[in-house]
Amino acid sequence: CATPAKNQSDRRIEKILVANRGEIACRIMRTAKRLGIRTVAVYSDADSQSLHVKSADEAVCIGPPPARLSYLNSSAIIEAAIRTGAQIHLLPLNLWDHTCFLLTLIYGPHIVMFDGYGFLSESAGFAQLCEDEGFTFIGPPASAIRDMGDKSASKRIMGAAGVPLVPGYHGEGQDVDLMKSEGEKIGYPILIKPTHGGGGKVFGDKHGNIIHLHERDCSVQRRHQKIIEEAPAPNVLNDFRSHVGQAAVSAAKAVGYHNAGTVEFIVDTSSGQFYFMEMNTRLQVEHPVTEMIIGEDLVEWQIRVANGERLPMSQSQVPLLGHAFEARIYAENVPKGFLPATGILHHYLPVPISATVRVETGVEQGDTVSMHYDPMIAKLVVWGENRATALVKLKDCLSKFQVAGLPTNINFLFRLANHKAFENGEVETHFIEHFRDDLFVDPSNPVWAQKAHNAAKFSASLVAACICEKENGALRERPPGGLSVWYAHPPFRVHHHASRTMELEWVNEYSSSCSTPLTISITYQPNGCYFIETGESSSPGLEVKAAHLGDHEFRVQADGVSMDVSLAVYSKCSFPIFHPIQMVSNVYLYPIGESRRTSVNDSLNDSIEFYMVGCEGFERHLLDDGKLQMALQEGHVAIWKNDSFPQSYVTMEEPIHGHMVYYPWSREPDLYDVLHGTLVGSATSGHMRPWRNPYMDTWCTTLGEENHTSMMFYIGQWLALLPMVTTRHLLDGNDHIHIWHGPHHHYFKQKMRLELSDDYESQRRPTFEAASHPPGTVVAPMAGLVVKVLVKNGTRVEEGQPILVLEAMKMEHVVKAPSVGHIHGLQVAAGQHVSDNSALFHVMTDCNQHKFAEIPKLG
Amino acid sequence: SISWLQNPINSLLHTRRNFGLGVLPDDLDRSSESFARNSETMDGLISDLHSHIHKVLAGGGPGAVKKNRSRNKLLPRERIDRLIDPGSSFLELSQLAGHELYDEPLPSAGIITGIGPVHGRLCMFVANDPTVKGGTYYPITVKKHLRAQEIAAHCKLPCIYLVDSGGAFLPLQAEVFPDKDNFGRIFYNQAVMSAEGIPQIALVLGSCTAGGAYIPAMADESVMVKGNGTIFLAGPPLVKAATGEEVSAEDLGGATMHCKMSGVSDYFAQDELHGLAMGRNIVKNLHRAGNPGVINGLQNSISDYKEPLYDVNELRSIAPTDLKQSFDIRSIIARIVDGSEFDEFKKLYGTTLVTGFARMFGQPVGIIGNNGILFNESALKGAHFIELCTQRNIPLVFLQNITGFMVGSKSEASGIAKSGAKMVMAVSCAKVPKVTVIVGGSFGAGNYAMCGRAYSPNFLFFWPNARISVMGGAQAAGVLSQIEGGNKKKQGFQWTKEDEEKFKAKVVEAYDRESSAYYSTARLWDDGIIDPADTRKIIGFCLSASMNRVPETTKYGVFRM
Repeated sequence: CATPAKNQSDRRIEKILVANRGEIACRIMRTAKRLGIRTVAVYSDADSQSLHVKSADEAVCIGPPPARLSYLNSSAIIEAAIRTGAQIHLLPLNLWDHTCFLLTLIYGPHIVMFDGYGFLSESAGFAQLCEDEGFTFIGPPASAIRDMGDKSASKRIMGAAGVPLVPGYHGEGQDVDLMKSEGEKIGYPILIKPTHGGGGKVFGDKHGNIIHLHERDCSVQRRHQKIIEEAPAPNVLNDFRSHVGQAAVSAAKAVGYHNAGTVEFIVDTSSGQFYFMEMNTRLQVEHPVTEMIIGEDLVEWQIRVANGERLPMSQSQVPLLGHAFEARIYAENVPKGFLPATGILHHYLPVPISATVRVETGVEQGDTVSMHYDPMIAKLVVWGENRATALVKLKDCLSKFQVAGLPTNINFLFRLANHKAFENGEVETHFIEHFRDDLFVDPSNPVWAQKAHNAAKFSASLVAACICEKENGALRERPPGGLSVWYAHPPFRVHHHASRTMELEWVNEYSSSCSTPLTISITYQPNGCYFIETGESSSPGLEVKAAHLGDHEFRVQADGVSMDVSLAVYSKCSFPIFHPIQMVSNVYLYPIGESRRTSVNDSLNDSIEFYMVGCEGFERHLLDDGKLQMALQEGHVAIWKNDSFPQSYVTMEEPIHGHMVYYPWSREPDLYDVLHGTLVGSATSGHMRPWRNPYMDTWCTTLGEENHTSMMFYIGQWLALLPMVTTRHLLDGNDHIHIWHGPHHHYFKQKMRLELSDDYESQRRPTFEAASHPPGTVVAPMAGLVVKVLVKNGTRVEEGQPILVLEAMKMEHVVKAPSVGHIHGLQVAAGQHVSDNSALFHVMTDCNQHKFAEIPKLG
Repeated sequence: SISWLQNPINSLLHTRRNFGLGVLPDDLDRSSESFARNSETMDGLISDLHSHIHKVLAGGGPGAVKKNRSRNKLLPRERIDRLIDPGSSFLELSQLAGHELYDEPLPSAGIITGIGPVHGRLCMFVANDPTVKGGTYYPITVKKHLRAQEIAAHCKLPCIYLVDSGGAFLPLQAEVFPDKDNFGRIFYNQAVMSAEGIPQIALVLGSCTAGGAYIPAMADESVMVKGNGTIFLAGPPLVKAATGEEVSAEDLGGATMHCKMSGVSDYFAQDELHGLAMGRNIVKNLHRAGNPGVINGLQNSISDYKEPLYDVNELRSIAPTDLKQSFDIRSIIARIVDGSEFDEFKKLYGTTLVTGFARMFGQPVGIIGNNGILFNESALKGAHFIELCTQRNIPLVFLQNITGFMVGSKSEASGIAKSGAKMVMAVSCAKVPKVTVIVGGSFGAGNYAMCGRAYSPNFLFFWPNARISVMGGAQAAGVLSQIEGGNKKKQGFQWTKEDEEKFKAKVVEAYDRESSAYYSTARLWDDGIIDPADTRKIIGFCLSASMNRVPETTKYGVFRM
């Protein structure tokens, strides 16, 4: 099926749809832009503000956040291709590996390919779909992909082609299954020890030419994923290199390959033997190291090959220039076994790029690393004349790569790159396990702990000086109230030096469970310096002079040494709070009875019966393509009924009778404080928890994005959408401070000046709790009539949750739960009169539960 | 010559002279004996001063400080540091009030007062020091409190009371309680200032007993800290004695009770830092409704002012430690005004009084300084200059180094009393901000004409070397011994030369002691002793605080012509 079109030579690629996200999408678009090829991005709801969307000439939303409903939803991608009228589409499908498949459409014959990982079964259907639309794939032929995707088949073919195989391994079904289950790419090292994982790049064109572009070493891995790659592999002789290269070419020829691919071999270091392991039929994540040592753009090659051109060079012309490293920077928690981390990139300042430094990134400062996708933040690629010089560069760049807001592996990579064995090129797949003791610090080790503590104190001193200096600058620039004389530096005190205390909390990367409080005392010196003491009186003070160079950069002189310091300070204020716009005319009402009841199949083949309510036009979206996501445009609401719907959608209770509310805009944790300023509920990431609005006797939920939010609720048989304004709320009362200087990076938290954080706790709890009653008892705040009782005995309630509504003096008063717990002894009912200070109910918390047990007569 | 021009200052002066601007020359003889002697003596005075300051900064001693900390309370200066804007300055007043005044030390009179900005708005702080005698009010404590309120009322500064006091010091109640300028005046001032729209804010950070309870109660807004803050007219022991009721301090007058039930306090603070932050918030929410004319801080100020051309630290060497020595007051002016530029008024007339216009931190000021004894002409010139400044709303800075008006028959006959009266009339009635710094002697009626304490300057400071008395010790001894000798002789006693010398020595000794800056500042005859090198900055702060209000029109009384 891999037949190139005959007339393709006059059909050039003009527009590419990049069906991937993150750095790889950005990478492809960069080359495409350079070649004058227009780009189309596809994105899920979670990525609407992503860099790859902004980088593209056009962008199409293809579905909700989960990858299988968007990036892996083949029909949605084809749909997007049709909508944008792209002639050429690049289609990478294995999102999790950042596999880059290139799918081309050339009018006429077409080739459609799929990756082997998990989606092979669907490829036939997808191929058919593409064929109907007339697409061609930029990438290797289908058969090659299929063959290479099937591990045992690939081994058989390779064996026949004379490519060395791991002895006693291929053909043993049990082993293959085992390997497949362990992780497709690198599961094999257990069979041969010591081992090296290595990849040789092969590049083939549609004219039967195949060349190899030298090898890479991808041995340093964690959780079976590569973290540092390099090319060429260290300690490899040229002879061996050409041997492996030839074997790779043979492998590629055996499957009739064209376009970019990687053949992986494992090398027995004791015997010098190498064995075929697998072939990755795509441009891999680590392709930049190959590009760096051959000085070529492989994405450009892919496009040129797809255009039917010949490879730009022959095997003998492939240069081998110097040495390159690639370090993958992940949002992950290293001490917790490299667990992927999520969060907001509050500060993101990669090292500046140059001819020898590349940063492949798909994120920007302020972006969220969500749970939906790969937590890779960037790839740092450096080049040097030889391995040693490249390594120096790598270490330098790692120490200057600034990421704050979530945990990363940068410090770990730095330690790895500094390890003697790594410097000597003794890399192998078990490297991290072998040198575990060197790479992971044991926070309980007192020597290390003391050293780390001292380093943190020093950093804290620099932080203090930089913060004061930055503040001076701001005060000088714009003295509050125009009182410049009062804000001169250093601040004046009569006959003594002004001093201040800064309480920082050192967040130790290696013992994340505990953070260490550090009290920094800063004394302003008459010469403009800061005399800084940290905690214990035994440690001598430090005189620090700081100059603010602008933005995050400082030049600091401490202890006679002058150095560059970078500082990032941010606060986490990502709580949107929604307030209704108080204009009745803005309320939209939709009749539920007239809403459409329909059912569709989604990509999971689940039948979903749902109701649609919305403004004009939704039906067209619904009927034209039958896709859910098409129906959910802004301002539309779908409520549907399905028990098996993914958990990320939330059930809206009672009034909607178990229907579900689709919330297409997953965001950070939200607090919903709507109508009358009442705190009514909270939601976790991606969730919308509906809440009961006691004033309206209805369940409500909010829809939409920040700045474009509506509150949805029922009024009789009508569904109302009330537009709201959104304000942000501080997520925690801390300033988060990161400092980078030399090879050091420290993270501190500082409690904000309290004026910024309101005293919600003290104001929010009108507990009506009386001293004469047992703890947890809530009494009537005044005599009145019980209008509504919102919960039943035994209900678990949150703190502040409305329990019942009293009416007195023509006003309604909501009685709320004073604490989290179970409602107990609730005897009043609607219509009942209660007297002032009479007990209404008790909230049994875990701590006062036993007290209730002792007082059986209560309630 | 070329070399002369190569000196940067000289070449600048050369340029300035060419443009005819009043840049003061550098005529300080740094190699002179008096320069060295002055420096040495002043260094000694300043190190003495610093050792006294060091003691008062430690508050009531390590034990009391520790006890204070154990209650999660900050020291009063730390409290103020947390209230004012971070990185801003604080002008503390009368640090040495109460110095050697009572049998036991009373550091800073047990109360810290001063001015600092909160959210860009200058405020007067009055903070009890609970480590000093439990923050109780001695007579001098009351005086210092009232002085702070006087400044606040004059400069329209919002008042922030950091209350942590056991109330009046009962053993001295007769000097604390009954008189006009006693304890009760505090609340009177609160009421009157509040009526004038000067915000009164109380932060109850500790106990606030008896009369003290009225400070938060009289305040416009008050904050109470849970646990530490208590307000009651009578504490638990007195309640038990009076009514037999047994009640804890927290239940009797704690933050919960006062914020929830009595309404005596408005804001409930979880802890002290929270309370201080709430105090800042209250200031943030103040609004200057209906005061369009008020510019916060310096009026007519230009932002890019020049520092003086000469080192301000040299003021320490200029200040005469032997008051008989004369020196040119212009060498001080040259070190405190912007760019050392001073445009002198009537330079050639009445030369013992130096008058002229300058700027300080961009703010135009009129400066009046002494260059010797006051003659007829000097007094007339002074009165004239004050009239100029009041007409133009230019604040006045007085640099006092005055032994008095000229005496003698010629002087009397030429009407020195009349001339002096003119200047005193002008000084008294001038409604522009006035700041007085006593840089040397301050004797006799010269003190009046040069805006001494009785003439209500907005601020008045002493240099450590300064002296104040009605006349010099020797002169007083001479006068008194003549009278004493006469009386003795009248009564038939012998009055030998020896007796006279002994008598004189006693008088001189008493005058010496009582005319010192410490004696003055301990009794609050001034707002503090300052380092000469800080003079420029402090005048700047004072001007800024004084310009915080709508200008007033000056009306003079009858000038005797």
